[in-house]
Amino acid sequence: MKALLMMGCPELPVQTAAALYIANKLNIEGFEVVAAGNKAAISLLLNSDPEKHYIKKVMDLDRCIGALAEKKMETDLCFVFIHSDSGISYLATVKSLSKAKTVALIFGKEIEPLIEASAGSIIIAAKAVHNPTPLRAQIDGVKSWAALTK
Amino acid sequence: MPPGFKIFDNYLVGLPPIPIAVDGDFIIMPYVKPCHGCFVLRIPGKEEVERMRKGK
Repeated sequence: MKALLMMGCPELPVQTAAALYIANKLNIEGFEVVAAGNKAAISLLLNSDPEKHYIKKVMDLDRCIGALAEKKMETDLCFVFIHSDSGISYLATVKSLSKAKTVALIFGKEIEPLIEASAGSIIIAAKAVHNPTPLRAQIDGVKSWAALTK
Repeated sequence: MPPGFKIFDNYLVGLPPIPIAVDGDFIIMPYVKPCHGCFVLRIPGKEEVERMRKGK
């Protein structure tokens, strides 16, 4: 099983914490996890996990979209980190390019419009900017990510 | 155009269908940046116009 974490701008501190937390859960379930993001998002991940305990593989966000578009890459589960309109655009793009089950991981101050725009995906949402605990609680509500791929 | 369509060596990102306009030899298109949101760009590109009309 493969899982893709698709991250945008790491403007909100909870993004990196949530990505590492989810990656750990996915690793335990046996997923092969790939983290895609812009340079800053990836840099934060790699600096937070220097020995790659949680994040084994990273790739540039634009390259990831290209690989999905050209069918050179496929995944079973795709987590799109969303805290702005850009995240919604990337979610729609993944849904259009991939057969993967999509998970909209929504955070920030104003999450309601983002939740509405993410219809059709599994939604994990919490008002969270600096403190990842509310988001972690929502993530913990899912007992098995592998079950979602079946 | 659908998301993932390659134009100017970039893959389109957005909610399908993604609106693209042609104005003479210029292409007017949205461009999404993760940090800054969506920009609308007007870029000269005669070859891209021809390729886009063929849907390739």
